[in-house]
Amino acid sequence: MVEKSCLLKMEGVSKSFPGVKALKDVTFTLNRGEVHVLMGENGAGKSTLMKVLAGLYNRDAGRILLNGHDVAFHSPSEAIAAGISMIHQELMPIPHLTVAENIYLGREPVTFLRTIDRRKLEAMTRELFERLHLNIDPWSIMKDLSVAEMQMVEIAKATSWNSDIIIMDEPTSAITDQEVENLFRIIRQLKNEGSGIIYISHKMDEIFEIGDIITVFRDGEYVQTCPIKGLERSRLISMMVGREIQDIFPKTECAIADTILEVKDLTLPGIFEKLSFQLHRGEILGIAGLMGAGRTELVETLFGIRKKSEGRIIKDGKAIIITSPSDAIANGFAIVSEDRKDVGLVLKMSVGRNLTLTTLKNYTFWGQFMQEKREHVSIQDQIRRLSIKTAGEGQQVSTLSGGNQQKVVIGKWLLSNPDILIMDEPTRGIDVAAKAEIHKMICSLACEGKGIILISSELPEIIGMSDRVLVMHEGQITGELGRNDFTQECIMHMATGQCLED
Amino acid sequence: MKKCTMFVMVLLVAAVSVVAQGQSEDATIRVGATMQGMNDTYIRIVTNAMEERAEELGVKLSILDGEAKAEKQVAQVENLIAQDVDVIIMNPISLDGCAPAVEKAVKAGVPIFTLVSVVKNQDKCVTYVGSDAPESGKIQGEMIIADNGTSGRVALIQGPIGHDAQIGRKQGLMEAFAGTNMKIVVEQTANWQRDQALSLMENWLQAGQEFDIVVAQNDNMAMGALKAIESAGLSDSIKVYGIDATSDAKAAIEAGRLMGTVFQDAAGQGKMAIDVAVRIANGESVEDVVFIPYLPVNKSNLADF
Amino acid sequence: MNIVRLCERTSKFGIYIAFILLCVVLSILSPYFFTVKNIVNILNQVSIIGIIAVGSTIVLISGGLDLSPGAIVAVAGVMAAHFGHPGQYPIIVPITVAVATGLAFGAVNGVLTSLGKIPPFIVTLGTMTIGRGLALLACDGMQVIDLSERYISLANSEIFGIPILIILFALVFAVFQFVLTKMRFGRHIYAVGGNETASHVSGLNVNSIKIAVYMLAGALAGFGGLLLSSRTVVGSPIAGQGYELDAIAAAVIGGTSTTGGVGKLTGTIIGALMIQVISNGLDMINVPSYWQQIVKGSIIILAVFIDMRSRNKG
Repeated sequence: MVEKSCLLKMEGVSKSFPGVKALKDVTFTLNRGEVHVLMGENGAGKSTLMKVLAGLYNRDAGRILLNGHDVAFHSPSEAIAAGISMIHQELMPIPHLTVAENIYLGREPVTFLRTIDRRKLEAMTRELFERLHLNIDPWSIMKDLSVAEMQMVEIAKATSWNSDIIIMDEPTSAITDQEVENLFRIIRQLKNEGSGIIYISHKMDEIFEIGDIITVFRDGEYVQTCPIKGLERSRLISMMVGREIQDIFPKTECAIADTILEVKDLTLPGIFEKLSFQLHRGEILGIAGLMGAGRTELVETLFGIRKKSEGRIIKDGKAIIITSPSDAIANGFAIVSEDRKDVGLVLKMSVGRNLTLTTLKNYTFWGQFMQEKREHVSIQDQIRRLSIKTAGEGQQVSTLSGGNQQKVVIGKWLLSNPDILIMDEPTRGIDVAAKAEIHKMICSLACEGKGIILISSELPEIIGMSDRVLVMHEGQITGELGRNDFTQECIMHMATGQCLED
Repeated sequence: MKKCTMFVMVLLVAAVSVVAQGQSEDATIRVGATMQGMNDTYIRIVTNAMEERAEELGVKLSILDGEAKAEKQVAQVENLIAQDVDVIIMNPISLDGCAPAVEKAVKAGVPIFTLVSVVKNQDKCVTYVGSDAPESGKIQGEMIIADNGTSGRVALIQGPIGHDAQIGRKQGLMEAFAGTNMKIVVEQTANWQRDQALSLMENWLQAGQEFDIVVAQNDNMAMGALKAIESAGLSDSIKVYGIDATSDAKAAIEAGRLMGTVFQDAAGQGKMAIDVAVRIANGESVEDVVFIPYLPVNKSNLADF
Repeated sequence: MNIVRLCERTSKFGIYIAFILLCVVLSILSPYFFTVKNIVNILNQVSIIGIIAVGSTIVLISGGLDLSPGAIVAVAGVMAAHFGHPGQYPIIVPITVAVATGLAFGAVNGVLTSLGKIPPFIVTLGTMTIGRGLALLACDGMQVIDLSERYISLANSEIFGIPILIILFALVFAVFQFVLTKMRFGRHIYAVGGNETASHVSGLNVNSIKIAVYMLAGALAGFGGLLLSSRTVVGSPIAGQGYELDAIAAAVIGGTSTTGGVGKLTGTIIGALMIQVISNGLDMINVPSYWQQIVKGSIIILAVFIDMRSRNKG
């Protein structure tokens, strides 16, 4: 075990953006051989602090001491040279280059002719992957990899610098449990080699498994640092939100009524075949499964984003035809999609414009001429109702935190007053407080008599929220469980395709 | 499927080459021409005359559009050589850029000559059919002196700076003005374009530029400038001259709005090009230069054009 | 007054500051520059390219790109001029012909980019080339002359002492400003340009919106072609050369994003004026031809630089 000496000390760091004070006089210390977890709600300042450290932002005030020396980085390359590397929350691969080229971009081994030494490049990549137990071909093209594989490549790239300090900003947001295990093994290895790891995550289970010490931020301010051993979850949550949260899954029982939707023999060639299921009013139907099981494809087909080759959709006893999202919307469907930034929002537009995008026609006369006052009233209502934290409806939606962005997506669809609400990973990358709020919202919508389809990769969410769960595996529904029957183990078994005999 | 398509294509190629072989054996004279750009009104007139004359003489003529690109014209000459034509006519867009085409034709033993404009290695061409660019500027200048005496303030509207005709016409104009008190007080390019000349003249008049005579290097620009002058109510004090003798310019001369233009015999050049090509194909000798003269046009002789 | 809106307001000033600076410099260099007559002159000269730039701006906002306006100007001008000889057709005929020609080109652009999924750069490069060819074909390479008085007056008359071109430009601007800011269709243009997938999933008919945008841009270019042929009193197959780039430049100098979703017509007007003022000013102070192009390019880069600096300071 390496001696726990002080590696990094940040004192009194402040950073402002126009209109926002993102960091206020923040202190942070990292020791060698330690996994230091940073926690806080979205917008608490974790990512900003890390970007200051990694040289992406310049700080307004404060000191950064690296191994006791005062430093200030003006670019990521300076930070890397000083032994700090970062795995970003948003992946930044160069899609048309190979895996090996991506990892060693800008420091490729060269031959005496100054051309790239492909053999050496391959050897270096293979050696790196071996150390990390990764099974990825160094010569595959980056864009052909799955999101999980890309994330593992990013992790490999960060470790390849042999940095003293590695910052991981939500490294597990897109990878499977097995890969998480692998990542943790790598982290332990790096820790034993004497590196310091800064780990940002919202996932409680992970934090308790891998973290040594935790620092909590709230609204850009330092709250507290304490060892993780012996820390209670409820205390951690209250540190983060500044108040007690009763329950992350505030499931309220409400009456489940008649069938609102019936899907028969739905087929999307190559992805899934002949799927059938039902949804009732007031019901939350969870769909569980691993990545690639076809869950997202199923709901996208239902919503008309993908073209089905076969199958019938019956709503309220009547067969309906859906060939495009506008058909789906006309029939009372709404979808909060998995990919908030690319599918859910128009990032270049304001909060208000995003909220009314689907229902714009309601605020016009003759279908075309905007009635801006009525629209404004509606937007303000929605911002208040969902408690979206924004400087005003004119704020560009891209500048909101993840949780608030997601609320805008939900708010947009609620304005269309849907009967059936599809929610695909509605709380991915969102902090606990916002999660709890969204869960509460889902429950109250169900109690209003809407049918809700909930897809989640987080089993606690599926179990905590659903009235009934469908488990998918490789394009098939491998099981259906009622509220009294489901446990993590039995869902996992079905999701991995192993038949469970009871 | 693929094999079948291939087979059909091979058959077609074979058939075409047999037909082509058959054609080249008869006695018809085959002439190929590459023109600098068919979107130019003047060049259109030249090619129309060429086609007409070729038809009369039973010459097989193929005209290619160089699209104002020298490298394109070089490639077209290469293609004409490959097609084994009897004579190549080139109307080069560029003095230097089209020179390699001449080298290629000479090397392949195909006679080549230039039309309307020239190339750097003109000595390797059989001849040049056309006019002498500076001459048109000179005639324009002489006409102006004849009308206005030997002193005056001149505004010059030019073609694209660096264009052969822009250089030549200005050179000729300055030759005519040499030794007189004709002074160019302001000059600018309008890129042969009517709308640009119109805006340019508006801006000059707005800026209080004073001049008595406007010299435009083509009629298109002259007509644009004329419109700005008329709109400003200055048509009595400023006289406008052009070059080309386009139909609307001639109409303007008739109406007394435009003072004069210079007639370059486009049709005559086209017709002469075919006559010269036939003489070369028949092994007759041709002079080094075949000039088609420019002629001044004003109200007094308008009826002749 | 909230902070965000204040930031947005100040950030817009950059290009205006650059524009005013330019005008001040030119006023010092030429006593004739800052006169009512010259201002009217500049507005008159900017009108046609301005009308076309309005179309280019909405195409850029919708996430597209249009290289065909210059060619449409030529085709529409020649076609309209054919119907514009004295004593043949009422004036509405050439006007309709010009606008319909533009609409047809726009429809082809729109259908091929949206339904055909061909990149707009390729599609409009193609229609631009086709358009140039059609313009020559439509008049056999010869200019169409002998236009009626009524036709010529389309771009050359005055209403209450204001040149009609300026009035037409103001009308086009007002109508499209209304469409972009006060109509649902305008909102949809921004949404589609900002994020096509999100717009589709939100129930917008992305394809028909794109087609409509290209058609409007085509119609404006066609109308511009009509006006240009009237202003120059000739239907010329080589008219409008380089107009597409001037129009795009006006939009982009005015702050329209080349990646879609962002842009304002007021910015486009400043951008177009900027280009026009530069060439008007340089003509007035009689800068030699060689230098004009160098000065033009430098001023444009400098203006956008000032604009971006002021945005960043926000």
